[in-house]
Amino acid sequence: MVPTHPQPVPGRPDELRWVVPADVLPLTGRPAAVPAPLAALLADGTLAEVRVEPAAVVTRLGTGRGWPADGPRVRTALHAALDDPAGWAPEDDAGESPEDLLLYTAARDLIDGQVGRFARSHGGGIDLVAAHEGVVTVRLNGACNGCPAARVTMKRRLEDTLRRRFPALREVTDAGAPPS
Amino acid sequence: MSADCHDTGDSGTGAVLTDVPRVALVGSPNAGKTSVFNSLTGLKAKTGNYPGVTVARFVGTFRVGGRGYVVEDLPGTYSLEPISPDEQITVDVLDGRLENVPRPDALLVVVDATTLRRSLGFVAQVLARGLPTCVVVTFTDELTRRQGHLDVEALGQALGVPVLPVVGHRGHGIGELRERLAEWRSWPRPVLPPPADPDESDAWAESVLAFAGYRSAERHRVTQRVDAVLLHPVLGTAVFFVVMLLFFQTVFTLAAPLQGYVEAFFGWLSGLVAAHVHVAWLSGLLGDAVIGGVGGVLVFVPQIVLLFLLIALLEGVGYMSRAAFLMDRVMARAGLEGRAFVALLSSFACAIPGIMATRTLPSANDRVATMMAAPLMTCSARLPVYVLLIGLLVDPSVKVGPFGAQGLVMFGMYLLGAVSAMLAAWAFKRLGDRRGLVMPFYMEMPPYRLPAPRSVLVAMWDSSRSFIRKCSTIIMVTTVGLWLLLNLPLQSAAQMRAAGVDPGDATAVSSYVVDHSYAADLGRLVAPVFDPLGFDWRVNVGVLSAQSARETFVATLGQVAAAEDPEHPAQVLRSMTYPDGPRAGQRVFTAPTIAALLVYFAYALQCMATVGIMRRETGTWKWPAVAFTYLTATAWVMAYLARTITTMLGG
Amino acid sequence: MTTVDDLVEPGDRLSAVRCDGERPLADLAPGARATVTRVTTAGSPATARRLRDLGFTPGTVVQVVRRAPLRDPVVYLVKDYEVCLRRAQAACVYTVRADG
Repeated sequence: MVPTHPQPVPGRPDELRWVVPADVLPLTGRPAAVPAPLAALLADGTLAEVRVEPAAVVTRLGTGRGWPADGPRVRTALHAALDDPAGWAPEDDAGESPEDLLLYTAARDLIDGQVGRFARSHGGGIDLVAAHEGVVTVRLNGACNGCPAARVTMKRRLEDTLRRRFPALREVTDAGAPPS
Repeated sequence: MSADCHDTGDSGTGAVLTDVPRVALVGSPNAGKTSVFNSLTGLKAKTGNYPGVTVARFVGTFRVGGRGYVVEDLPGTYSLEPISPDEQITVDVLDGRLENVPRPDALLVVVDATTLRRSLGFVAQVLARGLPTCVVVTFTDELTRRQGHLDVEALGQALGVPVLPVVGHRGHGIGELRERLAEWRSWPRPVLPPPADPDESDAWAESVLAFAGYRSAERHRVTQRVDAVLLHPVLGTAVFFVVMLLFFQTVFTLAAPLQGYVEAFFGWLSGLVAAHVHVAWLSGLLGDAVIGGVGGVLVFVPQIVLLFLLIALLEGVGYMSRAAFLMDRVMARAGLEGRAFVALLSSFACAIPGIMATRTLPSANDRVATMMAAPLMTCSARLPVYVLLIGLLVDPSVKVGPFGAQGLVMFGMYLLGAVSAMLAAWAFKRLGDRRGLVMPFYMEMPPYRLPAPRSVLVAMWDSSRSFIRKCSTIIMVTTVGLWLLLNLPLQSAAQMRAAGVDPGDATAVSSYVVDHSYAADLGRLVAPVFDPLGFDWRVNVGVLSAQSARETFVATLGQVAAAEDPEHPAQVLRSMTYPDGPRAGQRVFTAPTIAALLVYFAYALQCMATVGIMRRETGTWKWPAVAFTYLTATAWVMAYLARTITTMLGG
Repeated sequence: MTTVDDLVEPGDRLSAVRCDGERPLADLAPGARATVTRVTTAGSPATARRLRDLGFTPGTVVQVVRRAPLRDPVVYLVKDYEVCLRRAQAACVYTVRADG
């Protein structure tokens, strides 16, 4: 059985991000086809959407569904689907840069979520500037501003947390850093 | 819930306001749960029992931000699928199904960072309960030392609940834990609880560990090396016997002078009473009964303190599970398990700490069986009685080979006690198992660790305090009761003179008083019962007075026999004869009678402190009643057998 | 439960058993490593459940650490910790030889 556990998606109570080992699934983005158990849940309206991220599968519930009631079925179906990677077909048109978009979304989630919360609890803040080819650009402000140690800590924290969700992350750069 | 409204009863929490939040600690044994509990509550914990079961209950309080919290340390368990009454308690408390024990508002799951791979399954079961939960990770320092790794924050993110590292024995993280507890209402909860299916649960745990960057600790090198010696088939067994010998010796010899001081102090105190209180009966009541009673309780304290210090140390270091591992096969013969060995061994010093040590047994059946057996082990209170009786029975110059016959008889008495105890344990275990499920045996072998001095001291303090508090009443009552029996009705000086007794002669007076006391009436009343054993009414009074504490037999018999020196009554007793009845003129202390007395003392439960502690540890009067009945009946039967056999042997 | 002779040393023993040979944990000699395949409920379902909760889940590697002087109980290393079981319990856990 492929290891997986769900985590909430900040601001999206109808979504769960199922963390899976990187390289289990041969694709990212919205798959054109998923294995039968998962397809059945999409067909009967339990799930509205299934997206694949580099180290996660995001599932969005259909309207009127709830995690406590439907979550266990989604989990069981997902386990079956993860055991059958060949059943996942990539999307036909790959878009301009799904990777950049994924990275941007992941970074935004963290800045809206735990890392941003941590920064605010220390009197600072993080603005997301851009995400491109594995590099995320942010601007640190507030109490962090002007304290080199704080900047480094904050950047490392974001980098470490983000890399867990997006293993292909190269680095986080701080647009507001004073030239060294 | 109605249970909330009358939370009084046996719960040990006193009058708790219903709006005080209740926090329960759950976790496996050895996870450091008790250490966290102690750090949170300090010494404000209370021990009691869950209603009607032999499971100790620990409840404490703490304050943070001006609010009080009640915290309860639930029995350690590896699973919420109960297979024993103790584990059933944990589950019942979590589900709010226990009478007088309200459901906790929030849970703290304590997990050992070095065994996280196993513990996550338990965490999953707890999270599935749906109560606000915070995970407390202990031994993170040890994990790092042993080259392991854990990102605590990522673990919290993966679990969907707050996770806090706490190094219990250093107190690190306790401050944050308190603050976190204050906001328990707003703790995040998992959107979707972990799966119940075992395979899905394994996949969940593996994924959570990977996300938290978990790297297992390397095997503890010190533990491996030490175990290579301590668990070696030959060497390990040798070390075990040395450790147990030292353990026993320490409890016995180190406590003896301390007990001497306690006795001396109370002797001085009653001397003071005798010197300053001139009303004879009041002086007697205060000096002999009240002060003697308190002294009789406190005299056990040095032994209990020492024994629990040693048990807490051995347990904290991790040797206790090794000793149990080595002795398991032997104890299995009696249907018990290795952990019962320590309790039975402690009973050689005194049954009270032995019975208290049964707390380390996870199975309720085993605990009861061990408690029923413990009073049979030859405790130190039997020694003076044995010394007196064996002195009457065997000439000191008789030798069997290189050994003195007296010593051999003494050894035989110890052996008789131990063998009887094992048989009793076996019988009670069989009876208990017939009614309940037989628990599978398993025991974690924790790495050797230095115990937190605080935990050791708390364990010691707690045992001593609960012993004094819970046993003092029963011992006081019986001591005073016996004193009254032995001294009432009051004899006036005129009555004594009329009977030809000089009121100035203390020995003659006490002899006269006892002879005409209610106890003497009682001794004569029970004469038909003890007659087949060859006891005359004076021996009966001694046996009856020894009912509260065995060692008083020597002094009482001395008094009854009107010995010139009540502490050394052997000479008088030797020549004591039956005053009346069919055997009038014959000697009382013939070999068959002495043998019967010896055996009677080996079996009878003549120790009110033991009865008291059984009541305390089991939470009901049932088990002390059972123990008292079966031991007294066995004592009579065995004494009768001993008398018959000795007579047949021509004694 | 059939038990093979315990006195065989782990090396001989393991080579003598085919790779797919399933054996109860109780039959393994100290030093042996094996992967849990299943836990039987033959003893009692509660015992099987508890063994799983103690870490004896299918796919887990177990190492036999040492035996008590009278050969019972036995200490096993499973899921990063040491736990001792009596033969009766260890006989409910079936294993195959672990790779590596």
